[in-house]
Amino acid sequence: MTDSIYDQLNAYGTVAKQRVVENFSGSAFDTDRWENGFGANCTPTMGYNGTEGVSFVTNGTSNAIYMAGFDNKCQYNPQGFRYISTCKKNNDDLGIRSGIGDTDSAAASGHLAMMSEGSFVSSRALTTNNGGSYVDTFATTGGGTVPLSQTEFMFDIVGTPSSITLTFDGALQITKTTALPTSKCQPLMYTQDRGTPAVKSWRTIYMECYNT
Amino acid sequence: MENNIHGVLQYIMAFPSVYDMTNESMTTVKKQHFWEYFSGSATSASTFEAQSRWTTSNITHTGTYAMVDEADEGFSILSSTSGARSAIGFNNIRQFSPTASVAIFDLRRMTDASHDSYAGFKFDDTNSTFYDTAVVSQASYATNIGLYTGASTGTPSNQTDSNVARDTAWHNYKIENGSANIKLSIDGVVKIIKTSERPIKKMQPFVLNSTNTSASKETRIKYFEAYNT
Repeated sequence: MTDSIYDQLNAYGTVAKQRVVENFSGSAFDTDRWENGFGANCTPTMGYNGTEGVSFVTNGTSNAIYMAGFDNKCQYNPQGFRYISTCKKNNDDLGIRSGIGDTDSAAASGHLAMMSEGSFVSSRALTTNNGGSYVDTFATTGGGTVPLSQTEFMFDIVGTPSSITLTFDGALQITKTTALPTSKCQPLMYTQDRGTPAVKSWRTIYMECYNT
Repeated sequence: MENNIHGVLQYIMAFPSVYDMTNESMTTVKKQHFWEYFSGSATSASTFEAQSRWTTSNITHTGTYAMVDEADEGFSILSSTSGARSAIGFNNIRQFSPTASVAIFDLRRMTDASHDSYAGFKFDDTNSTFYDTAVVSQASYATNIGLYTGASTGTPSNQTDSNVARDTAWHNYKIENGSANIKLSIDGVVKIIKTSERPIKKMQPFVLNSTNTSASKETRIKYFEAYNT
């Protein structure tokens, strides 16, 4: 037993690698730690409709977007990282990505590794890029896919030099060895209204990212 | 064990809360405790202050404060004028005991010569005098990393050297303020146990970067945790 968080997360006496933990609890989304790199007409709202965490809520304007990032302060290594978070959407026609990427100031990151949910994809996917185009990879475990849904789930992205894995609710679903990002990255949470504009939202209650 | 908070909670089901992780018993009231990861979007002193609990302190001249845009490099304190002393603290909100507290942090200096860095606990974050202070020191006046401590104004303060040479690498430091002594551990090894010149007043977390030339000097900090025992 130790009183220290540090000693419970790191081998004793070793220098820790970069880490950030967000509980998304409080009076407002922390727009000092996070910035909206581009986009508009979508607002992060704590406790939206009495729910937990932070919700990203579009306002009914076409192509409403919010890109939460670290203002391109890229402290995370895509070849040695872990990103743990949760997701619950309230509308199927909403594009959601959450993970790490090298830019929050454009619609596309040149290097990224993100969980994709919503109408960006046909089933939940691990979306990556290594300086080219986005590559969506779908679950093949058990010969099936992980369907899109409005049920809350947790996910866990793990990056190594040779692969990136994506786990949903504790079950490893995707292992990917191509299109792996190599440029340093930052945490990103992306929201885009798609289809008929409306007030739509998804929420997360936790995000932890660290280098391994 | 998974080295993340989520994994810890999964693995050790006896610790469903961070409170449980860091306290031996629910029958005792948890003492003051905070931790800081130094990760985010801060690009200036003002945005850093807005996103964190820290305040910047330009003890001499104006420093530059920002998150580092590199993997595993944390937060930067940069001093660019000869004699500049740039610090971060808790705006003299002092919640930590001089005789029952611990600080754990990861820190590096980006240069060695004419460059002084200090971090740990200090009573006053608006000056660089070391009264009521317990800080690790990497200073150009000493060959080795040391523990610089002092009691209240008017009493001696001084550095006790370890056997670890100054350098520009990341190190993990732990300062333990006890009732009988202060211990400094470097990278998990106790290097100094000091029984004299110990602080008397309550203190706050503190990191100071100082340059002794006109060249810019930078200290980086990636993690800081402090708690009372």
